[in-house]
Amino acid sequence: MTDTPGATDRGRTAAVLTGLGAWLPPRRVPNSELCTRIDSSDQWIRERIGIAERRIAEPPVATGDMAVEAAARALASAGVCGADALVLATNTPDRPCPATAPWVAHRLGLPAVAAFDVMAGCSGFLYACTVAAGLIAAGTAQRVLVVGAETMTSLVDPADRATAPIFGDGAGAAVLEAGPPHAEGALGPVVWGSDGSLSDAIAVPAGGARERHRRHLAAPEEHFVQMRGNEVFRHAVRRMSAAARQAAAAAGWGIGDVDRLIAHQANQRITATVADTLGIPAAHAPSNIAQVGNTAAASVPLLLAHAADQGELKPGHKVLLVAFGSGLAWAATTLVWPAGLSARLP
Amino acid sequence: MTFEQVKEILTARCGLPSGPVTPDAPLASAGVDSMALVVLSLHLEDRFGVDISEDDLAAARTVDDLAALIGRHAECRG
Repeated sequence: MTDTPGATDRGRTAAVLTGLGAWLPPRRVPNSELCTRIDSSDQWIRERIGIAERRIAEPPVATGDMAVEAAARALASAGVCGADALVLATNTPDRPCPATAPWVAHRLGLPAVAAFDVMAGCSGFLYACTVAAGLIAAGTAQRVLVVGAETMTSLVDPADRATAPIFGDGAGAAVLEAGPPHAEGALGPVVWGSDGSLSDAIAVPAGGARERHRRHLAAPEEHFVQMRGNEVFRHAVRRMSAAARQAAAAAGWGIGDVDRLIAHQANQRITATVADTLGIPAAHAPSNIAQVGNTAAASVPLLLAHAADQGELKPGHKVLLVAFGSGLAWAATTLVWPAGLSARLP
Repeated sequence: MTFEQVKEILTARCGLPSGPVTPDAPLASAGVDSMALVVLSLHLEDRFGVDISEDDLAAARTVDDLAALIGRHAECRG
């Protein structure tokens, strides 16, 4: 164990990244189209959030379908056709019950595989990777398919100028396999945590057990995500900076050793402030938020896939990953980018 | 805190273009939005040990007012 608070040591068997896939729905929504419904402008959205367009899934396409597409590509990227378990990180399951992961496994042709959902806001993918690494360390699984998929447009009020410009839909997936901890691609120590005292900071008020007695009274906007923007910004910077710094230290890296920062794409100004706070040059923090928006739990694997595809992640690069979101929940870890990993995109 | 110090933080840390950041510019005209005030607040806490919320900072009318406001908080602390 390390001395870092919240750090976990997964013992002698590590989870090694061997495959990466992504999928985005084809429908692009530029700011100009969004601004026909909300009182905003292309310039305002670009300057404040850093987003030019986002993708939206058109019904009947939902989270499970996008997860299948990304996961199939991750399996192909790894050159394998199966896994022992499937963990789906999402805040937008196809239905409130059951979990979406078993259906995704079924559609992938992985019958009877253990499959379940993880909900941890925008940190969901890193939480799911941590769970997968635990399964691998314990010997419960040798190979785990980890997927982050979201239909965030199902939670966003299209008329809310505070949230509608931010979120987009999409999916990313990774294959993690048992291997030695010193292998390239092995996930390093994880630093993670949560703060439920701020559960209202990013929340969908209605639709759950808490409000069941007034289900028929809930106003339409209570079924959409509501966010206290400035508070979230402050905590995002604080928590991501601290977790990233601790995860790098737990891996035995100084911040100066970090070649690339892969940060959850919440808002370009949050990413820039986190990089600045850490002392990592902006050019070393790849970004795809301008093209895809904030895709919540899909954000980290989508950015990994896009950055790898564009050659921003090179073999041997020391990569620091960090995410933060509703819960509040945050997580950070490290890996050395492996040679021979080719992300599969649509 | 001087105007120049605040301007340095707003441009280097908050990412604002320097042109509109003049002493008499109202915050909105200087490009100082709520997110810039959060970054400013975090920076003041980290680098100067001055604890002042973005809501308090938002009470300033101009960039010069902002510098004076921060200065008063820093003096109280001292």
